[in-house]
Amino acid sequence: MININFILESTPKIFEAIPITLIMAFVAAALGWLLGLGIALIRKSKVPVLSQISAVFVSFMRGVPMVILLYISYYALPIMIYSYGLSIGITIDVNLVPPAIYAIIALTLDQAAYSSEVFRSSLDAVDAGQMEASYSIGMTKVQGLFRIVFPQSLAIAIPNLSGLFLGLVKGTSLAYYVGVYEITATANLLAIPAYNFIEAYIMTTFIYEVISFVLNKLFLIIENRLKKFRIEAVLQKKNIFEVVNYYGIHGAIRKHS
Amino acid sequence: MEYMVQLENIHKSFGKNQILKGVNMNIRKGEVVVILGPSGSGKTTLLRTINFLDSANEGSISVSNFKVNCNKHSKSQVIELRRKTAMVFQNYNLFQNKTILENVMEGLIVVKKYNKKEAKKVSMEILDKVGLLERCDYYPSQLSGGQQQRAGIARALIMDPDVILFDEPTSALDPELVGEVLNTIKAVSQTGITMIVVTHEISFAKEVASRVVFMEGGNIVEEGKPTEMLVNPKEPRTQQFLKRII
Repeated sequence: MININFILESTPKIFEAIPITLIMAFVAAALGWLLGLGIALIRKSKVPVLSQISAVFVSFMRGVPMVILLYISYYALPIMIYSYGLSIGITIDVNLVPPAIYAIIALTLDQAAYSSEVFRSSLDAVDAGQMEASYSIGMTKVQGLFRIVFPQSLAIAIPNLSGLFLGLVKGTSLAYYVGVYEITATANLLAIPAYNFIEAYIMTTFIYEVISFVLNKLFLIIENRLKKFRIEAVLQKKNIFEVVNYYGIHGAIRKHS
Repeated sequence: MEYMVQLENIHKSFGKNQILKGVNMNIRKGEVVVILGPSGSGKTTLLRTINFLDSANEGSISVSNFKVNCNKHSKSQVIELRRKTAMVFQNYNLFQNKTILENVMEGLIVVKKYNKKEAKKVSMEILDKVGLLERCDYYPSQLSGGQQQRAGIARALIMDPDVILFDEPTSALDPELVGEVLNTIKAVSQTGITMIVVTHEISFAKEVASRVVFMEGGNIVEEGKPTEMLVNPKEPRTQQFLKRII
């Protein structure tokens, strides 16, 4: 039987763990995607040495299981920081660093690798003529990238980034293994004393579902905003008569099919 | 004699494939030079070396007395050269994420550092000239090819360049839309701006060009006044080409 009392009692406690899950996801995505964009640009413009290093990094990251990456970050990083501290004559108390930081580092690196591939393909998808046109009116490379190419490639990348982000939110549950009390860990720990695992897993599933649903909607809104320059997106807003009026009936059929 | 554009000994290869084999060209202020020639003759490449979209391997390019050495140039030199030129592309290449008005304003705001209000005013005037005032808030994907190309011309014109480069401006258009674009280019040519046009429109060349250049195999084969060269070409290769295309 489902223990309703357990659900009612533990729900507020699990809710308290939602922020740490979201913080890990948002911070890892923000840092990871920035890094990923950098890697994509380095690889696209074939910067010597850096581009080879990036390729190896991406290939390695895509091959290593998330849990192992978390363990590496949690166990190896503190030792490295500690011994580096000793080498310059400072004793760093690595135990003061909350485990969530190590989890964020691991998740960030993972996101950097995966998002770099998303960005690379979305940058490739923007017509080279866009950059040429920027150059032709005297813009610099940086101006052309930021004002013309990035907005277009972001619109292309958003659906994939959205998927990546939802995966990341669920990936944060692995931070349980390194002692971060996020949603899954909290639910599990609450379940242990009376073996209420079924209830706990039903609740966690429900919470992840709701979070994913809301985030998905959020990404759709962003996507539609970014794509406003694409005709398909405009079509959704206009009614069919306006479209026919504008393109003529054949044009409207062509645009619609 | 003062020249607006001077190309000296331009060489360009893509890998082992030599596209331009030492092209020389001097263009006076206000001249409209039309470059003709079969596919693969290097016309477009020549045009693209002028604003360094393709950088030539050898030679030098000078636009209104600003000379850049092709095998020894800095980034800032290239940018300065590009700011003296503007280009109209075969595939329009309008900024897809910007409206027609924003497309035209972009150069004024980013490159010429106009404030937004001023840039908008000037842009609206130029869009009116090319007949796109009512379409100014549309995105490029909502316009016909002819309208897009006219917007492309407006975007180039507004930079007040010393020379405008037209790279087959009507080749991607439906036949019925070619006329409106050619008329716009004709109107531009009457303002006295220096133009270099790569095209296959012979009748347009006849009407607008002050000089016609025929290229083949990376070299200039023949050049002259349109009335002479298009009617009575001297070189056999030019005769053959014109016979086939007319």
